[in-house]
Amino acid sequence: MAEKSIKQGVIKGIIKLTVILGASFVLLFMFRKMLPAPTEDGYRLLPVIGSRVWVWIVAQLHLNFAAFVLGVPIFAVTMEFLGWRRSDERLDRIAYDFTKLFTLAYTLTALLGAVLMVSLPLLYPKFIDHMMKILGPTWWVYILVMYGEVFVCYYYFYSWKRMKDRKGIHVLIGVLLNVMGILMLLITSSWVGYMTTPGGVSETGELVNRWQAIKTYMWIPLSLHRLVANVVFGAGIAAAYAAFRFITARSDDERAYYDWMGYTSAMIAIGFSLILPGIGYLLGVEIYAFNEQMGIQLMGGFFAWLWVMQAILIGAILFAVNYYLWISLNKMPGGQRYFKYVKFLFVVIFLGYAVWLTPHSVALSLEEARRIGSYHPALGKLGVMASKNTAVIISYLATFISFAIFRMSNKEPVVSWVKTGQLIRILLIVGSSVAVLGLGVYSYMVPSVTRVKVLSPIQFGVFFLCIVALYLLDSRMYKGARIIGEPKWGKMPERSQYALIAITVTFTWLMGMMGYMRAGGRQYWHVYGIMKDTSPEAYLPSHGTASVIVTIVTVLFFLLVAFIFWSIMKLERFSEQRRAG
Amino acid sequence: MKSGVLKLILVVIGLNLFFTYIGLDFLPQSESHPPREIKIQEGISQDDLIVIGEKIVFGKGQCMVCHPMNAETGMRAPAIATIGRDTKEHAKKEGISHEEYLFDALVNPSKHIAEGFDDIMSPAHKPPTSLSEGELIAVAAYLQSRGERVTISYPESLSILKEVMKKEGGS
Amino acid sequence: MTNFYPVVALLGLAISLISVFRKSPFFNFIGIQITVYGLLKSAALIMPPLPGQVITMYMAMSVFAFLIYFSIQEETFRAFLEPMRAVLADRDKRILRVVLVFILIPLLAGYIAYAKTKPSFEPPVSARIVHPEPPQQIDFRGKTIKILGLENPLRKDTEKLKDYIEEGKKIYYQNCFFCHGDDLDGKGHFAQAFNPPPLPFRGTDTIAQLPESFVFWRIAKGWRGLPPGSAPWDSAMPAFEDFLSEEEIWKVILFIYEASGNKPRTWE
Repeated sequence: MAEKSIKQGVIKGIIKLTVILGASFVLLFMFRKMLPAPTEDGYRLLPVIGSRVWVWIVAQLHLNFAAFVLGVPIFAVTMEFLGWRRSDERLDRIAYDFTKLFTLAYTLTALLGAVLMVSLPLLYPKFIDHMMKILGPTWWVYILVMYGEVFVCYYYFYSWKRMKDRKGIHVLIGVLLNVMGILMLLITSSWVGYMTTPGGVSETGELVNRWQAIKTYMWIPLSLHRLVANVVFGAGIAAAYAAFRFITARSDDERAYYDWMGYTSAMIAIGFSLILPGIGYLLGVEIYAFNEQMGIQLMGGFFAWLWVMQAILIGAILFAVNYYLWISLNKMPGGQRYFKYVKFLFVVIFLGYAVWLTPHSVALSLEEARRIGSYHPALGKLGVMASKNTAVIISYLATFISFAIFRMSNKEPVVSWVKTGQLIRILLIVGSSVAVLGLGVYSYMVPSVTRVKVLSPIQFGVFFLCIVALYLLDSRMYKGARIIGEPKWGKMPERSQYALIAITVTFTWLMGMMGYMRAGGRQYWHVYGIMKDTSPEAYLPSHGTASVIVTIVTVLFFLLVAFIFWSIMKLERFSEQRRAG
Repeated sequence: MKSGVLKLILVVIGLNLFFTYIGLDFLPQSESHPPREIKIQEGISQDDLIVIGEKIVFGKGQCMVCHPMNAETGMRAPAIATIGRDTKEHAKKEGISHEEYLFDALVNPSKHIAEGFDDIMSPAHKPPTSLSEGELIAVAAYLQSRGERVTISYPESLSILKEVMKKEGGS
Repeated sequence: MTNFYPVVALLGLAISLISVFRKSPFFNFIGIQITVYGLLKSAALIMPPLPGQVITMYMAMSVFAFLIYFSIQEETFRAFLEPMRAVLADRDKRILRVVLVFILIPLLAGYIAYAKTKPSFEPPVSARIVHPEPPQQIDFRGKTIKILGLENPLRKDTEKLKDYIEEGKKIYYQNCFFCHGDDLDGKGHFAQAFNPPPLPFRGTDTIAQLPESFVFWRIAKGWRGLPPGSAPWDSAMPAFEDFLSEEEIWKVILFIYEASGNKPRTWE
């Protein structure tokens, strides 16, 4: 691939985008002429599966791919930069592999976007007319930025090998790519923000102030949340790719490289996921600030049970990550010494998970209801945010310790103050755990406002301070440490790779579910409080139906991703053969 | 290698099935429908009609200005809580159908004054309340439901109402 | 019956300990699951029993977590799989294999089929949302009251607050006390008759988690005002708009917060 000239590659990309866009406009125009006029209240109902399910699936798939192509460049460029600064060939290679992944995913993203672009105005003409009236100009800006993004992306990819000697400029192009990506994210988030927490319009839906309509309550928190989640998700997909390549690898060299790539990607994913709860919290606060009813509906009302589901999924992800790290100890010379600590970490995470998934609302049989009532002391105490925040912070702390243990398991510190250092580490861990727990217990005794605005941030603060301190301490203590042996990359049992895949699958599923909740928070409104959904599909489906659709989305997504993986391997083999023959 | 890929596919499919299972079997199943906007139209159930009628009695109809909910001393107009039963008795006494009596009491209130009360009510289909035909039927259905079996429905009772209104116009 | 569960837990613990001693992770795993199950069920000795669904959840998590635990190290994992492998492949385990495949598994399948199809007179499990979403506004006897952002108007009148609470107390004992109890603990005279029982106001996790506007809505509208997800048919709370005035409701709210030592939730 890289043999192709830069110009050719970029032109090809631009043409591809133009063809896709042009074709969608033509299709849109044609369908409008051909299809019967929409119903009186502005809908065309898609037969068999219904408009809503169709738009739901297409939009979520498009969003998954978009998250992927916006998230991966962020750490691809970072890796390239690090590789360049440290002259590390391996980092450069992994950055290039990441870039290969998202460049190939672009076409699919654009195609899915095109399907969405044709479907929405056809199926929901009234709604799209309204959106165009309010936010129309941003759509045209969006197309412009899209062209910029495609141009920079293809340029970045095809110039990789050629600009080897001008790395600085190449990294700069990568940064530009991310700027474009963030711009796109901001524009699309403003649409969703307007739909969920509208502003800048009169009660009848007439435009008052376009900037207000863009700058809604949800806009910035949603963009931040998506930005970080994109990185987590992108890294997850990269980890899945590495796992896939590990399993299908033919040589030990390949296995070693993809093992390392899987590890790196997984750590990026979990590292960034540390800040997700905080930003998610911010998003929640903004939703409450916009409309308390929507907040309660999302957190405790109809969607209460999906939070239990979310807890199950996040707990599973945390468990899988720790599992991966613990298995990884097997490949570290000297890793055996640390298995005795794994037991404690396991117990901590186990208990944390138990608290984390305790539901507040319960499903009861009649007999149970008679005995328990709607309120159970244990569930009432463990099922609220005070305990869940605490549980998740402690679990994250344990995960970080697993990570730290893995990193230093093949080293022996040589500095003179080892004993003191160990003591400080123990004090840090125990101290911060006690502090977080204490704050958690204390937060039962104060009004909720204090808990939300003071104690929870302090808990998160203690946690972040602790991991920063641990990180600094370790890097000091292990400076020039005696290395027992290099990690034996590639010496991993296959089940660790399934854990990586499981993390990514769970994450994709979670993303689909949370996306549904975000959209469902509007209830029977297209634009909350401004424009009612009067179609027969305006209701929220049962959780079962929603999970079936999320599963369909996830399976379709992985099919498409598998197609990308497969084509990368095909291309690699192709270029290898060309080089050989 | 082949078995590895197969297992991989199994992991992806298996996890998805597991999550779907939780969603389908473990989580409670209910749908959240938008609040029903009931309009008075053909085929409306009597229950809905009564709900609309109740709203009008307590709202737009301004009935509560004079009528109390429960009988109390010094009330200016008959109590609503038992009005279905009471009107039925009166209707029997006067030898007309319950429906006719109720409609009459709404559009031509001076015709039947309950014992011990003054003639103070204004016709419900004229200003200030100006109830439509459908709304009159809903109110009558609600009143009937206070202590009696409801026989009024829409649009079946429309003909009786129209007749009553015609009479009122003539007299 | 519940006294029997601690014994189950102990039994599981014994199995688990013996297996540790004999280095058999598989039976250790079984022992641990029995222990966890026994403990969860024994919880009924010190508090209302945990709902079946919650126990299912915890057990699923426990199985998942310990499967992970026993597959971290290569040797442990192999030892963990050993009994299964032995039953399936070893020559001297033939009888066990035959028993398992031709008797135990069919029996289990039969039992599951039986349990699933057995006619039952239990109504289906109902999920109840403890914290339903309030409506934007309610219709209080013909007057529209906006619930969102609604504050207790009496709370601002700090001078008369004491009197209001005193009046609220009277209203409480005339209207609420029969179900919600003398001690505001949800154990009034009638409490036993209701399913589910009335809500206690004491403790930091009921009304302390709610803004006053929410409490006002619940008192005014009672069971009929609950959204479908909260199973309105599962509540006996009357709509007090029929019996109390707006001000009286606010007074009684002042009283229940004061008497239970709680403060209403605020957003600022």
